[in-house]
Amino acid sequence: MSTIRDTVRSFILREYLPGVAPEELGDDTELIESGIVNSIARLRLRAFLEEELDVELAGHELDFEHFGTVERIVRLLRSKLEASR
Amino acid sequence: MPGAVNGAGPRILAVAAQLGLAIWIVHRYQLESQGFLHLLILAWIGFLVHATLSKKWRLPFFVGLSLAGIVLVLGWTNAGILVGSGVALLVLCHLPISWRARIGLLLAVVVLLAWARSQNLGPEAVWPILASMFMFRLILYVLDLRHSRLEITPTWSLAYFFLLPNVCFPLFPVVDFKKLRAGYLVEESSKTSQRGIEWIFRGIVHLLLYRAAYQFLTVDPSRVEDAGALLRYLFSAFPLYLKVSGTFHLAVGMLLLFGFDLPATHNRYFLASSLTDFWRRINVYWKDFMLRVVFYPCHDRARRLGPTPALIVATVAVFVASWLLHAYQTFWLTGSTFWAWNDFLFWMLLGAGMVVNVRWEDRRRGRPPAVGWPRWLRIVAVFVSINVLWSMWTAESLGQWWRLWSVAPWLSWVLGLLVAGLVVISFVFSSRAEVRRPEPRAQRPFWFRAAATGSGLAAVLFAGSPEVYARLGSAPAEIVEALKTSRLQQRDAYALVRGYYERLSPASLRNPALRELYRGKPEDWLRLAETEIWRPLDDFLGGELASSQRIHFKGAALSTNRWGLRGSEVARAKPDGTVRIALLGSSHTMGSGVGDQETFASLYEAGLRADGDDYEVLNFAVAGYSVPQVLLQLEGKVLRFEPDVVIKIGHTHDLDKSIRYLASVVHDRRSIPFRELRELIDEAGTVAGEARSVVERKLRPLRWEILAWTYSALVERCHAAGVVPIFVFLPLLEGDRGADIDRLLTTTAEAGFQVVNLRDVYDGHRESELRLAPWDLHPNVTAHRLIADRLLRRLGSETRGLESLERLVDDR
Repeated sequence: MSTIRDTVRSFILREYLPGVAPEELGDDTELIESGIVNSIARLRLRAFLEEELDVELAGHELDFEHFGTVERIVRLLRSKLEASR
Repeated sequence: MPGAVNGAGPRILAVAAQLGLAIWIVHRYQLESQGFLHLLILAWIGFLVHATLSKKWRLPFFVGLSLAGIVLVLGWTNAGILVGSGVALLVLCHLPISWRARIGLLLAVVVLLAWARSQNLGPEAVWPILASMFMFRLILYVLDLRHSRLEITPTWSLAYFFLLPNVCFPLFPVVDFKKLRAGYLVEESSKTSQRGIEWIFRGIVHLLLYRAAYQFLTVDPSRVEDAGALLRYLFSAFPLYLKVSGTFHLAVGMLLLFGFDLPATHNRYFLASSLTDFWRRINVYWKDFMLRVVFYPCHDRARRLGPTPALIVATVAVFVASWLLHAYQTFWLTGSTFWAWNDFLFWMLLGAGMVVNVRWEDRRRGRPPAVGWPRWLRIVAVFVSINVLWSMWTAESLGQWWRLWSVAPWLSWVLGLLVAGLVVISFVFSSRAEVRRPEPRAQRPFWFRAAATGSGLAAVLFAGSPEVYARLGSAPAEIVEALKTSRLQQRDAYALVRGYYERLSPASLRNPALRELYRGKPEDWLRLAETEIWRPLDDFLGGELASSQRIHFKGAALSTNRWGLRGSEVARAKPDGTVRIALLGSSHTMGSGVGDQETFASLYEAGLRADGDDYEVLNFAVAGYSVPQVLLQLEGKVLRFEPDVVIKIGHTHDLDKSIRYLASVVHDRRSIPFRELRELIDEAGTVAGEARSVVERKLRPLRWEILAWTYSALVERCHAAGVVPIFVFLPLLEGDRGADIDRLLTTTAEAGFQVVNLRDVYDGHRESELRLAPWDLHPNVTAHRLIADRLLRRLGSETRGLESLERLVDDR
């Protein structure tokens, strides 16, 4: 499942943290509270993940419980992918 | 004590000491209400107990403390109704039926409650608090029941809805359930508590700045006559929002004390560098609520239109919903809705600006915000724009705001060009500037933060001490005195800013029951109409004092003679050689809360008689009477006692009181015994039986005309009976608006009264020395003595000049 994590991390680093060293983005770094990923950024991230991983994410899942850290996003995506199998 | 075991004991005590200073400041500066002071003291005790408990018991203790806070502020009966209604709503959320059926049932109950609210059924004090706890949180709660994986226990549900600060802060309705839970006790509690006290300190600073803005910055729109005054008007409305941000800080700070690590809100919102930045800084809780409930669901539905249209649709939906939900909030808090064009336009213009800003932000994703001076140019541009927009929102009407610009139409161009110029320059230069993502600021050590906040609190407390500020000279002392004055709304309410939050703030909520509870009024502190001395009548008068009664009223004896007048027995027929004076008015003149021999009417009579002259002062005043009632009383009762002089004691309050009374008469379909008054009321388009608030709104533009006619009629009746009419202006302890005093004096003089102005009767005395109680601003014994002394000087038997009673009587 490291692919999902890498996919999420690389998108965030490329789009929202350009120039930031990858090791600075931890799995538990607060994405929403710290302002790295704002409400509009979450829409882009969702669109990217849906296209890349062929999952469907609902609007209510874009909150801090599901989208608050890389770890939580990965957990959400895993559960979606497992459910679709 | 678990805290002491792990070494947190001294830290907890340090937080408790800072909270003690904060409580002292709230008391010294009369910040918020007496109810809030009591709640804060309860929180202080609760905080110390909470810190000694194991984690398992902390949340149940917090629930118990919150419920105790509700009882403390609202009393047992209101608290029972509030908690009972809240628990019933919670039970509905958890009924073992399908989710759709539960939602249907909840909606039906909400519609029923809305009907009850519109009819003002149930205790008035309970509604705003129940509304603040449930009107938005219920929406988030049912969404979490549907979507969240969180296990919801009864303790958490009770903690969420009955949050401790809500009983004093109805304007703190939105809290995210998941965030409340996620942040609970996640770090060492003393760290969260220290942040809480820092938030409370910031809240205190916001509230003091709000007072400064209110006292020194606001300008009456009727006095905007040049560009300087217009600029002052434009830039004085937005700073009044400090009141809301201050109360948010206090409320969130209280929750942080108990380990709820909630997100920062109203974070330096005066320093926003774009509209989206402003939206994200100002009320984070509302923004998050809108994201969950409107933005993302609307975006989901509009996605098929493509990314950009979906973004625009969702953003517009947020601002339309914000406008409607603010009206929804007004309804639940006040019982009536408020629709105005400036309200609608404010949200739509903000929404339009946000659409542009969001689109721009979306295109430049990943780029850090501008830094350095280009950022400051943007901050100035946003600040100017928000101030102008806010001044429109808070104006009495769009027409009024538009007309203000006529004093300097060029100013709109200047401000427009200034904003555009600042934005363009900042863009040109920020693109060349080196941009860096700001590093997160490292947290300072606990003891450094405690020392800094403690010093700040001590400095504010010290500055508020009369011994300190009296030495600073008259100007600084006046400023500190003004900051310590809590009577703001009453003083300038009529024409100053009447914005959305001003209408809803607890201090000015049109909810006397809640306001008095906040002030700490005992339950047996009744209105006159609630006592056995009140004799209700079906006619226009509505009621009067019953004859030959003696009751205990607001802490003092109140007796009536056989004619139903306050004071000793008198013969109806005037004794020969006696000058008989009839005093007319309401509670101030009747003497609410002072003994029979302590009213200024009684003291005035004693003073007149001191030199042996035969004078009688008959006190016809009845608490609650408006001027039209006084007119009927004069015709039906007063003149039968053959007075030589009629003294009508009046205040600027008579203006509003008359309108309110007439509105209740129209609502109750009672007949109005004066043809001219009936015609004026008909002219306003009122319909018998319609809601009081509607009639009141229709009559408001005619209020001066109605008052002028009533006073003229009083004078006419007096002249016809050969009685000298005198009008005495007596100021209210909470202050009267200067422009209204001048107009009232002119109106009464034009009506034909001899006018005596006692405007300065309380000069040199503090309000707290002269009021009955903190929750009751009627004059006390000291104030009655001051009034009687001044009446004797201005209307005494030996007074020379126009106001000599004898001369007035002889000349009639």
